[in-house]
Amino acid sequence: MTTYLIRRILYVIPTFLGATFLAFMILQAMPGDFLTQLSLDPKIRPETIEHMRHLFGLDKPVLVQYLIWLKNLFNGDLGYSFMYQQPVLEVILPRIENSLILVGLGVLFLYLIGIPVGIYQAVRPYTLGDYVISFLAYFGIAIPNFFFMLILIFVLVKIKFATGSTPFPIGGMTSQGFEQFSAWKKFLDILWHAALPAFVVVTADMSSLTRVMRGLMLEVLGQDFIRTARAKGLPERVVLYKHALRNAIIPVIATIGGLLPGLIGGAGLVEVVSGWPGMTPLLLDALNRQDLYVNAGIIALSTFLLIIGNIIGDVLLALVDPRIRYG
Amino acid sequence: MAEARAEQPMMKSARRLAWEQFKKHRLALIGGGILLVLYFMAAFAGFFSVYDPNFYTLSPSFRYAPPTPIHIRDPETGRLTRPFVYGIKKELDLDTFLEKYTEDRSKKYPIYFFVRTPDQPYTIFKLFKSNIRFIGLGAKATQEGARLYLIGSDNFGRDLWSRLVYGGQVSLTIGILAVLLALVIGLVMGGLSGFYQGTRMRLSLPLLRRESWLVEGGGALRRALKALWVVLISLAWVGLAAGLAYGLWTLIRAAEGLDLGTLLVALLLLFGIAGSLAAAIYYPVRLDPDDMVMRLVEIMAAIPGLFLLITLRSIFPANIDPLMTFYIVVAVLSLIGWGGLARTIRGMVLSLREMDYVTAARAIGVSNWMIILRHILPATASYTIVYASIAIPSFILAESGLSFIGFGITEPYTSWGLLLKAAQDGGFASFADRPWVLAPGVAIFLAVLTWNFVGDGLRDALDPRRRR
Repeated sequence: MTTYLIRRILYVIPTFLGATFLAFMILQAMPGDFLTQLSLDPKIRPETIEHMRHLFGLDKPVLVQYLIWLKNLFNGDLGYSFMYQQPVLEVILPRIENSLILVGLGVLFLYLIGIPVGIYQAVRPYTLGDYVISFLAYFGIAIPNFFFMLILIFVLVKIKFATGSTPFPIGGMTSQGFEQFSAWKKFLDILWHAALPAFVVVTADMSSLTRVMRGLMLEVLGQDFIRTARAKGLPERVVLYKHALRNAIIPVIATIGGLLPGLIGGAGLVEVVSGWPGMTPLLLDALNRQDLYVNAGIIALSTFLLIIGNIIGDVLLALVDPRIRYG
Repeated sequence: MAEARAEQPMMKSARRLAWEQFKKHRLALIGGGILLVLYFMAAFAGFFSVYDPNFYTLSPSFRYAPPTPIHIRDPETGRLTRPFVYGIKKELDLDTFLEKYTEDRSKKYPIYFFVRTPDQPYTIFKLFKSNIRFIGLGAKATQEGARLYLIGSDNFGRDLWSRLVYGGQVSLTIGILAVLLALVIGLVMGGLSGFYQGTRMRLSLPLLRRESWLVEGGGALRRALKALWVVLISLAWVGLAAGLAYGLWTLIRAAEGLDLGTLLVALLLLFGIAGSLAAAIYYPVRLDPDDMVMRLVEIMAAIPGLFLLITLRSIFPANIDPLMTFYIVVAVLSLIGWGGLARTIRGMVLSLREMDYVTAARAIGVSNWMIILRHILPATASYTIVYASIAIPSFILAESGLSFIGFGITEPYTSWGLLLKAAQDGGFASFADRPWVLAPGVAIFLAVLTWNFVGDGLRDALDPRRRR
């Protein structure tokens, strides 16, 4: 297992370097930079801009700029944001935290809801409940998540007009007067705000997870050892959760690794719609303002997160499936 | 002959079997039917729209007008008549100071079918000019200020239904075009990667190795050319080393003291310099094309898809020609999307190339390209079809998302995502009063849902293990 883990982690280095290089090149391929936008401002002298260009190393060849950026990255310095006049790390870190709250809560919903619902369907196949859930699952896969969020907000606004209060907040991440809350109340407040967007972020994945879970469970439940277990008089609970579920869940674990990439990006549009201060709104801003180092920083860190997510998925899979460990 | 065939039910062609299987999948049939309707309407958008998608008037202006109520009972006699609408009257609500639209009951405007609208002609497929529309009030009523808004109007007072129908042209075709392009890239890359796996390409011709200078047969000219080639390739490697050395030099000059980052990057560069010098002089670098393609796919998959998508899109300025934007969006979508297909195709090709019929083809001297195109790729057809039908809805979703955040299609073209963006522009409270601006989302949902149904049906039909 240790060898597998070491190999898997060493493997990450070239991928990460390649990905950051690719992203850096794409960012540099954009016409102009932040300073060209500044140069349109008549109040700023051209000499100042030349000075800044030299200060940030924007006058050097692109490859050299990448090397310097990479060096600083290894030193834990992601550069300086032109837009916020702050070190990039200070700009990005809180945003990444926010995005991770959304994705983390979403993953929790995903498994806490998706798996039990799939099992429910498999235990009562071809009943009304099964059909209704299958229909909802089709619905969940097909609806664009930003549109779903828009609809929910629409419903919330209608409720607000009708009753004066809402069961969930309309957008944003914190209530008014958040700063004065106690730590526990702050936590609850953020959870309350995150609940709807987190659910929307994972709707599609939850829908496909229930379908997969239903199929896997049905397949396992049809096998001989289940009949044997029932025949020898085991309680149904033991048959379901000890015999069937443990076999059916292995492929589901395999999907964890593949899920995170989709979620990290997929949370983006929901963040935009619900006004959640996550990574994507920042990236969109930074792209429009050509804040080079913020862009590069977001892509580098999210790529890093994604690779970590993939490793976690692979390791989990290796833990449950010995064929991979010794492959 | 034909009769003999009919008596053997087992002799059905694969295509026919798949079709019969597809027909058993009721959802897929319904989905396919709805899709046909959607595509038909998009193709004949001019005919199915009520107005020109960019038609609006400033006075009177009908910003965010609600759907026009259609009456079928005559107000005087109470009897059923031909459907008609009243004119629209705009009033200022004195409580909220918002514009309010009411019916102007003084005049009725009958709704005509197959109506001529000479004031707003359209062209179909950029070829056929016409002005007959399926439904409408006619040019005279339009001039008098009557409007038929089937689902409402947008922020300029343009008819949302007409824009929806025209937006379908972009939203529905962009998925197919992007998939076609992704298929081409994915099949070529995956095919090459799988087929040439194990045959390592020579990337360097080291100066000190004898085999670098070897020429199979040939005279002095060929030998001279080869020697030139060897020198050029080695020079390229030396050039690479020089470039890296320059980078190292600037890096060290810029560094204040020796920190971890400088050390790591310097080590990386030193490794690169030593490597490329070795490649030029002594060490023959060989690279598996398979490795190259698959590493590329991995690198692209390591960047979160949405971020890569919007970053790639923003290379191109927002104010370029709208038609160009359309093509750029297609290209960007397919550039992101080919990786998964290439990976699967590569896996299939790896096993297919060991098949007896491929060996036989090679034995009779078929060229590699022909083997890939004629013998290997057709065997991946059923997977490719299923992939396409599953990828199309995801591309439709991606395009709508991209347009929704303003990185996709630009005006005057329109797509469902762009229409939804307009819905959100006014803030949360604004669309509570005008739910019809959410209609484009329903259209996206419908298209994606039905494509998913069709994809499910195709997967079941083409996979022998899933046959019922």
